[in-house]
Amino acid sequence: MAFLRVTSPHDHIRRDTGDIMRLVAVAALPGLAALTLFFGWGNVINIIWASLVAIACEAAILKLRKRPVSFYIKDYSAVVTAVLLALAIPPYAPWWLTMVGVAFAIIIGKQIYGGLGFNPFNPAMLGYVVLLISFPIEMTSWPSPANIAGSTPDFVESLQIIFPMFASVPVDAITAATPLDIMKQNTSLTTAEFYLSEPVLNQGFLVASGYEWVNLGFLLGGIFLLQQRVYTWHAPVAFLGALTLCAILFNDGGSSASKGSALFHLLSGGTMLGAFFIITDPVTSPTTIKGKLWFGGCAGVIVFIIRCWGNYPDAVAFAVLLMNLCAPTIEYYTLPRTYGHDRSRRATEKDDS
Amino acid sequence: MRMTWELPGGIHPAENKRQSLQEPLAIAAVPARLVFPLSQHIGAPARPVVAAGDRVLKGQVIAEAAGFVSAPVHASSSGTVTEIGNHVLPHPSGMTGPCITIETDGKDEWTELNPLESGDFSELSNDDILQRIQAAGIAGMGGAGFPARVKLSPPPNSTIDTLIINGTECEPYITADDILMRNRAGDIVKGVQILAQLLGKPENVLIGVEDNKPEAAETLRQAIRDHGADKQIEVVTFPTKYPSGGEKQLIWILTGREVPTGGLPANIGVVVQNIGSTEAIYRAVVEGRPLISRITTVTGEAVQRPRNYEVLLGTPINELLAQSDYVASKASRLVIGGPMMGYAVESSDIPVVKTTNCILVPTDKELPDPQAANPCIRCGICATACPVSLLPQQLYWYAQSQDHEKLQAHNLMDCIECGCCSFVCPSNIPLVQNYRAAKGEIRNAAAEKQKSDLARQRFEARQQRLEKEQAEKEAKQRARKEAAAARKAKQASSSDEKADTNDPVEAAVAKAKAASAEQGSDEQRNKLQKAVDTAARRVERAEEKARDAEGTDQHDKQQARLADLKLKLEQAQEKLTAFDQEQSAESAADKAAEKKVQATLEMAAEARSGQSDEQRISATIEKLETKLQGLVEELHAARESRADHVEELQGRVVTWEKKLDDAREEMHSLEKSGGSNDSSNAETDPAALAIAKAKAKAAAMAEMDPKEKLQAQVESIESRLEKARQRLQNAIDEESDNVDAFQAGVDKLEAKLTETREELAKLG
Repeated sequence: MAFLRVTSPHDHIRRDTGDIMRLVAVAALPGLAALTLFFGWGNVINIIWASLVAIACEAAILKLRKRPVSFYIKDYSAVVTAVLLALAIPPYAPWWLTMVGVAFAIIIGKQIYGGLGFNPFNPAMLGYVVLLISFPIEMTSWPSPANIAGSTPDFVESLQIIFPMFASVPVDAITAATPLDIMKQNTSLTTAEFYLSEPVLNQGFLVASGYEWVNLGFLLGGIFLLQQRVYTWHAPVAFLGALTLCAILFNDGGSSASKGSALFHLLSGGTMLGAFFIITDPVTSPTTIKGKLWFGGCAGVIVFIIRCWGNYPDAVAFAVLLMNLCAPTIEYYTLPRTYGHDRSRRATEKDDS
Repeated sequence: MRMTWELPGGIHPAENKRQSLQEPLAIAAVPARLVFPLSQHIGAPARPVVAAGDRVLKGQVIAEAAGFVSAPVHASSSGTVTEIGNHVLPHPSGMTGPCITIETDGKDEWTELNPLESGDFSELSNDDILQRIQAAGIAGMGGAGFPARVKLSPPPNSTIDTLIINGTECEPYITADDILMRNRAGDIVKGVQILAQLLGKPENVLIGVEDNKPEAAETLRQAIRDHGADKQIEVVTFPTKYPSGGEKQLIWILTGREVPTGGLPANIGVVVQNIGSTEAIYRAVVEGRPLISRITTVTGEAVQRPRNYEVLLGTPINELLAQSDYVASKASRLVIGGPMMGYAVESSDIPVVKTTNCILVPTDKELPDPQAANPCIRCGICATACPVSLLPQQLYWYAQSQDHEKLQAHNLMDCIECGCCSFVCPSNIPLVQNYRAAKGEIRNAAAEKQKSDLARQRFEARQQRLEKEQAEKEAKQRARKEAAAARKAKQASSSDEKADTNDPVEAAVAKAKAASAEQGSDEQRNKLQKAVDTAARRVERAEEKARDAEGTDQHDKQQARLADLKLKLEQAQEKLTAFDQEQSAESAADKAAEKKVQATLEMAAEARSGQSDEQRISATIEKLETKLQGLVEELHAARESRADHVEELQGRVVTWEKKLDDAREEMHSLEKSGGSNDSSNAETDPAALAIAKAKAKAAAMAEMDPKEKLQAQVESIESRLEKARQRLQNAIDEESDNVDAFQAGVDKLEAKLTETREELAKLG
C-alpha cells in the first residue's frame, strides 16, 4: 500500500491561531470587569455590538474576496479587534460610533490589505483614531466612576443610552473629566492641591478612582498572557519602563508644572490596555527581541510626549500607529545573531556568495 | 559535575519513548531476501565487486568504496547474489537506485574475519585504525551517514581538544541509542578509547546524554569505572530538549563553542561521533567485524509490539514490521527516522540501511494529517523556538517572494531544518518545508550563475579573439587593395590603348583577350593569389571551428575537414609557385597555352571539389537546422513546464544559431568562389532555410519577455551587421558595383543596432 507522503516534521503542537485569539479575549475579562463595576454595562454592550459588526464586516469582505468565510472567521481575529476597540472607547458611546469605528478597522484597517497578517497598522487603533478625529466630543465623554456618581446606569438604561432610538424618554449619560484631562488642564495648582479638589482623584485607592482598577485589571490579563506565552515580556516592559522613566524625569516633585507621577501615568488612561493588548499585536510590531524593546520603548516615550504636550488627553493609539510605521525598519536593523556568526547582520546586507 | 550551556530555543514535543522500551532488544530474523543500496552514505556510491549468481558469505565485501568519501558495503548474511539493479531506495523522494539483492540460504555462514589477536588496540597505528574503520564500511549511524574515516581525519592543521560522543537521541519515539547504551556500554567505552587514541588523546572526552535516559547514563558511567577510564571519559547529562542532538547544538551545550558558519567542528577543535558508530568502530577495530547490522526502533501505534531490533542491514522494512505485529489498516504513514526530522515513504518494500535508526508507523490520531495553513500573524513563536536564532517568519515571507538576497541576509543557509518552527506555528504554516525548497533554489541559482559566468567569460574571450582576427584580416586586405591599386595604376600607364573599359562586359572580353594574349599574366597571378588567400582563410576558419568543437562529437568531423582544407591550400600554393616559376622562365607561347589548358582543367576539378564541399556544408546546415529546431521545441516545452534548465537551453539555442550562421556564411562564400552554375539549386534551399529559421526565431521570440526579446534582437542585429560588414569588405575587395548598396545596408543595420540598444538600456 502507498503511505501518505509528507515531509517532516510530522508532529505539531496543539494550539492554533484561534486559540491564541481566544486567550487574548479571555485575558481582557479582568479589565472589563473593572470597567463594568465602575462605569456600568456600557462596555459589555459595546463589546457584543462591536463583535457583531466586526463579524458581519469580515464575512462580507471575505465573501467579496471569494475566500472561505467560516475558515477565516474561526481565527477570531475580527472579534479581538472589536473587543479591543470597544474597550478603548467611552462606555456609553452611541451605537453608530462603535459601528463606524469597527467597520473602518476591519474593512480599511485590515481586509483592504489582504486580511489577517497583512495589515501594517493595528486595526483597532486605526478605528480609534478615526473616531477620535471625526467625533471628538463623543470620544471624550467618559462618565464618572460609580463611587463618585453614586450609581451607574443599569443594563436597560445602558442599552437605551447606546441605542437611543429604543428609548421612550432620552437618557443622558453624565460625563466628567478623566484624570488625564484634569492633569492636562491644570496650570496653577500643585499636584497635592488639585488632588484635594478633584473627587475622582482623591477618592482613588492609588491614583484615581476607577481608572486605576481598570488598568490593574488589564495588567492582570497581561500577566496571564505572558504566562501563557502568547507573547514575550519585551515590548510591554519596554513600554512601561520608558513611560515610567519619562514620568520620573518630568514629575518635578509635584509643582504646578508637574506632569504627574510615574504611578499616575501607569495607572491612568489606556496605559495597561496599550501595554499588554495593543503594542503586543504581533502583526504590526517587530518580531525581533531587540526590535520589540525599541518598539515598546519608543511607544512609551511618544505616549508621554503627547499626553503632556500634545492636544489629546491620551496617546496610546497615536503612539502605536506611529510605531507601526517604523516596525519594518526597526526589524531590518535588529536581527538576532545567528549560531555560528560573530555578529548580528542587517536585513539589507548583500551576500557575495 | 561539568557545566553545560543552555540551548537557545528548542521545543518539548511529546517524547513517546516509553512504548518501544517495554520489551528488551530482540534479534530480527534473517529474511529470505536482502537488498543493499550501493549508496548508504554521503559521497560516491560503492562499486559492486560481485555479479549475479555469485555465492557470498556473511561479512563479505560486495561493493567497494569508490573514492575517499565513500564506504564499502558488506553482505549481512550468506546466500546468492540474484540481481544487481535498480530498487526503490529509503529516500524521501521514493526514487530508485542501484542495489545488490541477495537471496539468503539460511546458513548465515561467516566469511573469515580479521580480529586483533591480542585484542589490544593500543598497539595499532592511526593508519591501521582508520584503515580498519574504513574497511568495515562505517558511516555515521545517527542519520546523515557521513563516512566515519573522513570525519575522523580532521584537517592536518587543526588540534582536536574535545571528542564528543553523541548519545543525545533527542528525537521523540526513537530509543535505538538508549537500548544500545544500556546493552553494550562496555563496547562503547572501548570504542571511545579507540577514538581518543586516534585523535591524540584530546583533553575532553565527553559522552552527551539527555537526562531522560538516566539508566543509559548510569550504565555508561559504570562501564567507564569498570574500564578504569573515569579520569579519561565523562558522561554529561543535560536537560531534555529537542534538538539537543544536532551536532552543532550538542557542541554548544557541552562546550559553549559555536561552529562557525560554513565551517567544521574540527575548526574549533571538536570531533563528534554518534554512539552507534562508536560501538561499530570498536567491533570493526578489535573484532574485525564489518558493519552488517544495527539497532533499529520499530514503533508507533500501528504496531502492536513496538520494540528495538538488532537487524541485518538490507532487511526489507515490511519484514521487520511483520515481526512487530503491524496492523496495516491503522497506519497513516510510514516514517523512516523520528517524527521531527524523519521522512515519510510511500512503500514499505525498502531495506534497512546504515542510517535507519527508527521505523515509525503512527495512526492518524497519533500524528494527524497536516492542517490547512492560516495566514502568518508574525507571532514570533517560531523565532522563540529556533535553536539557531533565525527569524522563521521573515524567512517565510522572503521564501514565498523568492527574495534570495534577503533570505541570505537572514542566514537561511544556517537553518538546520530541525522543524521546531513548523512544530510550534499556530497557523500551521509548513515553514521548514518552505526553507528546504528555498535553499534548493538558492543552490541552483548559485550553480547556474557559476555556469553562466563561465560561459560569459568563454564568450568574451572568443569575441576578443574574433575581433583581433578580423582586424588582422582587414589590415591584410587593405594592404592587398593598395597593392592592387598601385599595380593597376602602373598597368594603366603602361598600356593606354586599353583605357576604355567602362562596360563590364567589354572589360571582361578584353580581360579574356588579354589573358589569351598572355598579356594578363598579372591578373592570372592575382587570381591564383586570391585562391590561395581564400583557401588560407578557410583553413583559418576551420581551425577556429575545430577549436570550438573541441570535446564535442563534432570534433573529429571538423578535424577531417581541416585536413582537407589544408591540402587544398597546399595545392593552391603549389600552383601559385608553379605559375611564378613559369613566368620567370618566360617559356614559349605554345607551352603557355598548354599550361593554360591544364590550369583550366585543374580549375574545373577544383570547382567540382568545391561543389562537393558545398554539398557537405549544406548537409551540415541542414543537420544544424534540425538540431536547432529540436532545441527550440525543447525550450518551448521547458518554458511551459517552468523547468529550471530554461536558461541553459536558451544559451544552447543561441550557440547553435551562431553555428548555423557560421555554416551559412561559409556556404555563402563558397557560392561566391565556387561559381554560379548551380546557383538555382542553392538559391531555393537557403531561402527555405531562412524562412524556417525566421519562423523558429519568431516562435522563440513570442515566448520571451520584452527584455529578453530586445537582447535577442541586439544579438541578431550584431551578427547580421558582422555579416553585412564582411560582405561589404568582400565587395570592396572585388571592386564590385554593389559597394554602395552594401554600405547603405551596413549603415542601416548600425542605426538599428544603436536604436535597439537604447531601447534595451531603457528597459534595463
